[in-house]
Amino acid sequence: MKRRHRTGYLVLGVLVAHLGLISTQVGTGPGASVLHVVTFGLLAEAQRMVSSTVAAGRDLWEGYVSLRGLRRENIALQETIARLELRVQSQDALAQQAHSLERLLELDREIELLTLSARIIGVDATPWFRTVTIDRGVRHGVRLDMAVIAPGGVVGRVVGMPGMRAAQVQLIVDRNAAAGGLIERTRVPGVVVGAGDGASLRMDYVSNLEDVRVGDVVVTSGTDGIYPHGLAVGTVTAVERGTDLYKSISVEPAIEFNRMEHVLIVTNDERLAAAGEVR
Amino acid sequence: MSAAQIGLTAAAAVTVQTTLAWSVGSNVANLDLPLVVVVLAALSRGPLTGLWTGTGAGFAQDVLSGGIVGVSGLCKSVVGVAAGMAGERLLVAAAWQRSLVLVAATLVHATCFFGTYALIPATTPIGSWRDVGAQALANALVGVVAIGVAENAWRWRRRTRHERVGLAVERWQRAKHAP
Repeated sequence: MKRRHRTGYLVLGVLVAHLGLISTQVGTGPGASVLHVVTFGLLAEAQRMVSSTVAAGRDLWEGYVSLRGLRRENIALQETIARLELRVQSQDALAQQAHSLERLLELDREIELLTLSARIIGVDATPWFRTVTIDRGVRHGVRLDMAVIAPGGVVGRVVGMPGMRAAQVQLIVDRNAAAGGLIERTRVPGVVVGAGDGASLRMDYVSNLEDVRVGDVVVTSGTDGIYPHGLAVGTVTAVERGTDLYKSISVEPAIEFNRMEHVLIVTNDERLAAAGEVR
Repeated sequence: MSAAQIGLTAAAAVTVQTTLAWSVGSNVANLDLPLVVVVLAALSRGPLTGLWTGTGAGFAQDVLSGGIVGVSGLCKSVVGVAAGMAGERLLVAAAWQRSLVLVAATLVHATCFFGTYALIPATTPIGSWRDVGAQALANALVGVVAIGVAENAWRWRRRTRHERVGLAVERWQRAKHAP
């Protein structure tokens, strides 16, 4: 009887401790507890180890046994293509911006992104959120809310307090993610959010009076202070007149998140650039 | 299974969930491997084991996910205790009986998880009850396979041990009767 009571008190104590832990994180500002940061750092190391082992095994097979030299050459070419695609996107954004600004007889502003490459070492531990863990952290200059992109477009942003050698990235398709966006063709602004299915996006706050068509490209507006202006977010797949003031717009992401292995963190940090960490 | 073995198995489940799932494909990610470990550990060793395994595995999952730290821990602790109590009071020796407990545990866990997040307006998880149903079936299937593998491994280990003991006795008797 005594043992049963003791077990009951223990269960009650643990549940109250959990509720206390949850309540400390609700309604407070950004940031994380020391316990969270330390545990994340430790678990990320385990992820890094397993991920590196898997990647090493795969590289050994693909790189040396199967394709030998071609694999390396392919990786180098892919990196070059990735950089060039990113440059093309920046140029497109510049062109669009210049076009708009020319009409307003204002000066153009150059887009120059300083990025740091990172490898994905893990995914969300539950199926109910869309985050990934990357192998760059505070030691590499990664900070909260930094934008994460890929050659195809926007990936997400750094959330939580980054660990020393790892950080968590909330993908743009997560239900809690959002970014300022605009229709590239008509420059109509709106807010792009995760649609709720974990795979597609929705563009909110676009008036029923605006011109939006299926196939229109959505790019970042840069007004959110996180994502740089002009990066591809996705393509409009459906437009419906909303029951209230705003259209219902579905957007297919520009990035195929399931196949992503490497990403670029937008640091825009001159000190890292000088140290040769970013390119 | 010792406490250390259960802890290692739970850690392995979290690691597999976050790393290998990415390599294999996103469809695998709908599983909740740590929950399977929590329920099977609770069924075999009781509510206290379920409580601690649920707390540890849930905490690790929370830290490596985009949600609020403590929610998975809370729900897995509740499920672990409930599964442990079910294991003490009900007949859940057969694999199919344990798979039923796994289905029920997944549904209880999802109710607790989504219910807790419904009280927290700042963070909303994705997924529907259809996804939860699919996860319940997947968890039950993985649980059945895990039980089968564990039981076969245990039988094989026992058999080889018996064979070794038998051989040793035979050699000893031969040596004893040798001229």
